Amino acid sequence: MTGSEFIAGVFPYITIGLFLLGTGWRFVRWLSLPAHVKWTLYPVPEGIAGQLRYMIKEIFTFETLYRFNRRLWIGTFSLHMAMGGFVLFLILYLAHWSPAFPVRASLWLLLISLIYIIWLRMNDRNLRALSTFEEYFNLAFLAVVAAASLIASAPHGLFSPRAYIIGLLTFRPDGVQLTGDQLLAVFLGGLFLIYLPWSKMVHYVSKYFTYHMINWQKH
Amino acid sequence: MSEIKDETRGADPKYAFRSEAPLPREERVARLLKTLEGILKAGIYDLPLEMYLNTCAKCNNCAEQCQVYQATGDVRDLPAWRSNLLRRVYRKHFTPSGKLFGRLVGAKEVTEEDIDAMVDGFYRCTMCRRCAVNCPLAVDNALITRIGRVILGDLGFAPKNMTGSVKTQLLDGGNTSAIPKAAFIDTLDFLEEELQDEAGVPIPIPRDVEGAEFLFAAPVSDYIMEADTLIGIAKTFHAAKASWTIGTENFDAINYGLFYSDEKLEKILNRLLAEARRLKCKTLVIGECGHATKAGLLFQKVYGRSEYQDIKIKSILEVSHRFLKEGRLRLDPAKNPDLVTYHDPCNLGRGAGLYEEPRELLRAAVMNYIEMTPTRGMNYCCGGGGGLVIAEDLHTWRMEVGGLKKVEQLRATKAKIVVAPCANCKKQLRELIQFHKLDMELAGLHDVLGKALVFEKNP
Repeated sequence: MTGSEFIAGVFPYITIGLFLLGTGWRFVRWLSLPAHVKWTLYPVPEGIAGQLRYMIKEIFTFETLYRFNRRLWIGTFSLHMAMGGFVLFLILYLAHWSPAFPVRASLWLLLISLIYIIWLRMNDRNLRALSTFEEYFNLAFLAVVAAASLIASAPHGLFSPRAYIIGLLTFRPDGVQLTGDQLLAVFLGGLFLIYLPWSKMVHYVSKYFTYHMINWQKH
Repeated sequence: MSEIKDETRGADPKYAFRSEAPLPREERVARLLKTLEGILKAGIYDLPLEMYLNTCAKCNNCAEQCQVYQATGDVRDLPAWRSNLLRRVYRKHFTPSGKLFGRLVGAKEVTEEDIDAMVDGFYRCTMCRRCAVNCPLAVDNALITRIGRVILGDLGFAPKNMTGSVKTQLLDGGNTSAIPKAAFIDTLDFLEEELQDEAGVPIPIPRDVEGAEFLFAAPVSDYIMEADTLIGIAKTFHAAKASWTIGTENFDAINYGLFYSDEKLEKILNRLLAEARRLKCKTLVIGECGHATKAGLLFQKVYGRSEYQDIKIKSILEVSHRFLKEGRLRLDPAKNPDLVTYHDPCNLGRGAGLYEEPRELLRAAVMNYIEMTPTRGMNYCCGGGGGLVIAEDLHTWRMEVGGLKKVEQLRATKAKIVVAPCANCKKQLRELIQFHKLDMELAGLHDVLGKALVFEKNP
């Protein structure tokens, strides 16, 4: 097996496996930690319906940032919506329900949002004071992945990204020849997914604990 | 130049408050790491602490909620910046990524200068938890401040008045104001006389009554500073025909351990619970005191001895509210005609969820009521929270920085009376009113309630 074949045909499975393992480990680890001191923060939204309403609103509007930190909200909201949009439109594209354009538009939005946030962190006095190498690295890493994906998803003669991804999903990844830039995008995207659960960006898991298991834990 | 630098290196800076006995400078780093390790191993704060230390996104949303930062605009007052003083040490010494990648992942070896910054920073935070309300990731900087203070306490850094009061309290039969038992009993007798004069009927203040339902413990400073609050509470218990008592062995609810020492918190809490057990009372009722209520409610399960776990702890606000709901209080709001506003003590509001109980009591007891803006979960701290009100060295800071937002808020209500059911808030608000020359008076909730209570003269 050549290096290219490994990256195109094996690495994506390793990536997904490690991502799921990392995320699972984080979840189980935090679940196993007891909250001896009930550090509830009042008011607690009423009942499960109230809590769900709060979370859905927060996840889909980023209301807390919108109210108090509008400049960062512009970037962060766009970034997360772009990631959501990317996944959604990719599924629609794979199912032949959507052209490739919205997928690429999501990647563009993602890249622009990331550049904007990096710029903001460098130029806003307070954000600059708070930001360490780690914050810039996380943003830049994702920006590089987005840029590489944009380059890789540009029309490449006869190549169909759909055929490649469908091949992966049906466990028949071989038979597809990826170009160098496409291999790079797969490789970087994979690295990012492996890194994600171990980084501070793991808040897709942590929010459940900080809200439901701590803030909203009634005595 | 370099000689001057060498001479000054290693010397303590001028701290904002005096501590009794800080460790020698060269011993601090090692002790800090040992104490932090001990806290992490003890596991009391497991989940919240690990979440808060690992997941802050540094979005700085907290700064817009922080009244200290709003007053100073100083980077050092950004809550996330302050928390990072501890977070980076934790990451460096207690996480694999921090050990491996160091500064690349925001980890840093702690230095003596970092500890100086902690002494400054963790005592510029009122631990009000307002910044947590709108944190997108629900990170609570107040817990990090608290852990930071506990570590600093172990290094000998805590305001002198605070540690001195705790020492006095932990002596046999001691209390933070060093009131001897005999003098305390005299004070209760005096209060009974006042009650008789005011209500026109004899209202006893029961003491050491075995088997009473409620053991009542106020912050002892109330016996010196807030007689009207205690009179109001005695009237309320009496009007509700409740079975209650005061214990004369341990009568001080104050628990400054909450602000700097888990060890002290545990001792003080258990002394109070022991008094409830001695008198066979089922419920310990904490008077108008935010931090004492929170210390009891939050820490009984982890620090209360196993034999005291069946003792219920309640705030006087909950108890009086229950009496009101049960129709056991006859109130005449005409006795309180002035415009009244209510200050939510952070430890009773954000810390214990007691938002509606005091409001319902007030609305039944006063003619005119106005809310502050913002209110409830977003209300501003008095500016002396987190025990800062005890540190006399920080008086100017409390008046000019910590309490500035509160002053604006109070002024905007145009109220004549601000009600605050917390001893620390009362002290701070009274000083703010005086310092900023506000046309307003301060009262406890039971001062107002007691005034409105109606008694039958000839039962």
